[in-house]
Amino acid sequence: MIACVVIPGFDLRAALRAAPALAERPAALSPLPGTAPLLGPVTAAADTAGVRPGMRLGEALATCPTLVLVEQDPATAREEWEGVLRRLEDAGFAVDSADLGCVYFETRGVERLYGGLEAALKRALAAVGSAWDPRVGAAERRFAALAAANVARPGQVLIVSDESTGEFLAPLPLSLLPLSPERYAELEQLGVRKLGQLAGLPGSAVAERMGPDGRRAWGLARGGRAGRVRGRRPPAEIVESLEFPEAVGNELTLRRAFGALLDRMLARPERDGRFARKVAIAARLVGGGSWRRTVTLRDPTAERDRLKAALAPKLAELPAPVLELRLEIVALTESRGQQLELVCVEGDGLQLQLQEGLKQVCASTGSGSVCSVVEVAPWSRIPEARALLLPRDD
Amino acid sequence: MLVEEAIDGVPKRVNRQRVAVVREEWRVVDRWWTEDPVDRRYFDLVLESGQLAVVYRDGELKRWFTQKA
Repeated sequence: MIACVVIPGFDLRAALRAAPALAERPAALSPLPGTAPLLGPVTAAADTAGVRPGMRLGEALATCPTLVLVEQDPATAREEWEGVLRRLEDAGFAVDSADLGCVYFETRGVERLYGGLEAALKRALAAVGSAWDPRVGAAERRFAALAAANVARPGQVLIVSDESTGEFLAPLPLSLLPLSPERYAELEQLGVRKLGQLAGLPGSAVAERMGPDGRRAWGLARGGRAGRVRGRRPPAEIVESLEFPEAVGNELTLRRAFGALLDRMLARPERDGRFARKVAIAARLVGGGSWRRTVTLRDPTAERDRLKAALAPKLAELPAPVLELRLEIVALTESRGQQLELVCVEGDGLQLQLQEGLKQVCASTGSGSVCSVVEVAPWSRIPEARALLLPRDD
Repeated sequence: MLVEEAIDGVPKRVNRQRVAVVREEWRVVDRWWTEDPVDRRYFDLVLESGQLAVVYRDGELKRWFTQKA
């Protein structure tokens, strides 16, 4: 089965780790500067006061004048999420992170380890930690597992069998579907408010009215496709950080600090002579926010100057003075040396170069972006059925 | 792809080029038992420039596509 662990409002929960007292008060995640003034996730107290996620800032403050706006903290959120994923991986689950606060895994390999499906899912909840109020759903299809996790109460395990998927999904709201607000409004105007109502419509009629997005949503409302979950490859963990005694906004000081961090990072014994494929620079900002930029290098390198040239210009994008600067190697190569070519490579050498290039593409665009074409039915009348694309992350 | 069709659903123009001859027409209905059924009406065409084209109208998506494979 496919299991899905969901932590609603993960961004807000992560941002509130620094100020836990706010979790009991009406609080909401503030919008990012320069974006539409719409609220992010809200606390239970804010929800009780009538504030809803996605509400306009002015309307929310008018509804609840005591509402506290919590600044977004993407670096902390990412760090906390990585911690959750690692705890799940330590418990034996091969995870596929869909987004912050939503992760999928296959239960088949771990059911026998923990003595059954339910016991394995409870182990997953325990690995995430009760402080996050996680909930888990399991089903034969990915979307049904996501819907089950969204419906479950905090700490609850909800398992949906394949036969009862349609019956389970039918009364659920359309908001579970990945549709744009305009599409939701369009469906509401047509009187379609539940997944079951959408699933009951003819697929061709939905496609004609709403296009491919609508057709996809219709497919999901009927349970979605059965597919496998591919576990991610855990990222490398070489992190160096520097905390400043007071907030620093001077670019020269930041560049010097960055240079020192780079030297420390390259000297780390865990690197073991390997090259950096993907690096990230992050900062904790004055006022509680955070900032992070990731760079995938064109060619993997361990040269100080090349790494500096790739990352240092990002420092100019810092939106506020910095309390802490962090440098991370997100992905490392397996190779420890690079031989310059005297003659054109052929055979195995060329194959190695090609594999290396594909790994670089994977590091840049994410898991599943490199696929092999496998011919399965060359005789098919339908061209797209003649071959399959198989993701290659090896 | 831009296809102008006659009242009987046969293409008249493809990408603003007049259809000279409809060489063949056939229908593919398959996978009706899955969530992605295939319902296509194919046309093998010769355009006025002499170019050959295979186009089909998808009965599910109600749109025209060209097929090159």
